Amino acid sequence: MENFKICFMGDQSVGKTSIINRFIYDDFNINSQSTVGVDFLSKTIFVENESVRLHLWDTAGQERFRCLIPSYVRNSSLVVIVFDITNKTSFKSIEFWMDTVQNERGDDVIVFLVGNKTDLEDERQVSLEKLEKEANKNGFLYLETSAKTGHNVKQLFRKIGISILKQNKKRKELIKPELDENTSLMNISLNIDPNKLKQKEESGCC
Amino acid sequence: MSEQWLNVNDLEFTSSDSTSLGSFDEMKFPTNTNSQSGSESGLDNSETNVDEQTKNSLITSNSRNSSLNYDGGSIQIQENVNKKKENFDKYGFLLEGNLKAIKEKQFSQGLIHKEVERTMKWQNIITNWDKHMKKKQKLYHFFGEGIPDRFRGLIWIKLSGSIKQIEEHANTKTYQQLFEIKNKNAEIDIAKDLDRTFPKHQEYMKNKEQLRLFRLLLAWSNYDTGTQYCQGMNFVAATLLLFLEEEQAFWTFVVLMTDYHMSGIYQDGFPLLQVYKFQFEQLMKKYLPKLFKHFTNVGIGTDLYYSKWLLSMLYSSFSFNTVIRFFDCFLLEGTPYYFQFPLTLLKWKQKAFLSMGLEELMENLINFPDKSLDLSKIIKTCQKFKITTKMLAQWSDEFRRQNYKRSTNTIN
Repeated sequence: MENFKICFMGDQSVGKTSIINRFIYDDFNINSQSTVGVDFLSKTIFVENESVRLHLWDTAGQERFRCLIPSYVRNSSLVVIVFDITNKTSFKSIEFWMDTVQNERGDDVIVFLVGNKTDLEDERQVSLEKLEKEANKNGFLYLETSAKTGHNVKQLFRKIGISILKQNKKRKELIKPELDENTSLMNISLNIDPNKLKQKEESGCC
Repeated sequence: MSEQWLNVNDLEFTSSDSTSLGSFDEMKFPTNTNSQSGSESGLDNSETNVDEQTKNSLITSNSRNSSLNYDGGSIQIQENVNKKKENFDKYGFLLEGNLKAIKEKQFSQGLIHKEVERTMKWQNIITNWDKHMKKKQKLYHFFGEGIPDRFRGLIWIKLSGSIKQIEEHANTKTYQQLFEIKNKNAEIDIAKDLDRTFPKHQEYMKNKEQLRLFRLLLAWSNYDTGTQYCQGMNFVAATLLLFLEEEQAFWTFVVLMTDYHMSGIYQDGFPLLQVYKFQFEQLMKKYLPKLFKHFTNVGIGTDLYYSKWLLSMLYSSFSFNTVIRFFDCFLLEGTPYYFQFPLTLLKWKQKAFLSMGLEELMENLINFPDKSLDLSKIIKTCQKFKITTKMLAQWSDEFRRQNYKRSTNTIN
């Protein structure tokens, strides 16, 4: 089974650890311990008849730890940027997190934007319109969750799984034509027309 | 908002009667330190003295927690406070697993007998402190057996030398003045971590203890405005607060950050942490080459576990018992212990770790399986890893050279 590295980032106490704990243990502690440095958890999920092993890297949110983030983003298949819908500052930080990701990886990584704490709807400071705008501008996949109630958490990881599988298939298809040429001596025929594949690839991007 | 604040402080506050932590009447230490409420630490009015705005900013910045705690979460607090005393270990942490077995182990006759014996030994060490400090090697042997909890606070301030600062500032209001200075950024960062420091500790589940932690960290942020507050410090301060009075804990914290160079671990860019990491890698190569190779092969660098250990003074990955035993020896031995203790723990688990892949290894390094370890044995074998100042200096120079090269390469 293939492993995929997923990196969680976002400001201090927006709920990164809590989202992961809800997903792994289906549990919620009002006061989970602050993450120092980086934490690691893994879980297998089943999506579209395939199993995917997710390696979840949970990073510390305090501003001072930001200089360490690039090394965690390296080799990630997917990045989840989390903010707190009741905290404007954490929303403003998205730009910073996005720059970090792009500096390290360019556009070669899937980004999910997650607004957490929907259970505190009364205290919402970030309007849905603003979010939509931000997500569309950057081409993010956006979802709102509540680690406390569990709202949308399963959905989030299902979507993560689907996106990863999709990207993985794309990658493999891109590599295959080359393989085909090189391995023809070994009498392996994959019956793939590289041109067709490329077309498919291009249309798949839109 | 202020009403909510008052409600929390009005919560009934029962002091833990764990072994009288840190109290030592003979040495003119405050009595009954285990309850450590503001009124006993000589700071009885300080709570009301914290200027209203500071308090408000704490509440505002912590509004998420406040609302969770006071609205939906008021039940949660109540629940925690009402948990039976016997559900906590002797340090006040919530026990998990088979409570009966753990309790029986903790209070078995054999252990109690041993504790009495140790207490007498340590009484002697304290009385003849200077004499014992001259024979450090022998003293280290006693550290291997562990300091009785009742003496731990005193030993910490004597060993670290913070006792001088404490005495110097005994009749001053320096500490109070420090935590009364406005420092919005630090306040916001600290407040966010209050609920998340020792979340399973009976005292920290209540806000009064958190206020002491808040004041200590804020005072530090104003004491060293260059370093300020960094996540991880909360665990160091909270550990000190369990064994010392608030003001004693503060001055000890200052000594740790300055004389023990801990502030270098936390400063912007983590300058000293980077050096320690490099030195630790070299030591791994030297003393545990197989394990180092295995870690490298599966993709685990020191940044994934060692940084975490140092930043939280081991707390993030080890049981509290291991943390304080490490801390005892660290105060005696200084920097080399940052390497000797982790190396020994890794060596102890080497065989098991060598057969593990990335996932299992990371889980074990982040939640180190230290419950079954014989800490006395481990401490006694720590010194087998010879670490000289010369070695460390050489590697530190090498690290700086490499870093300099790297940075000039990037510029070019």
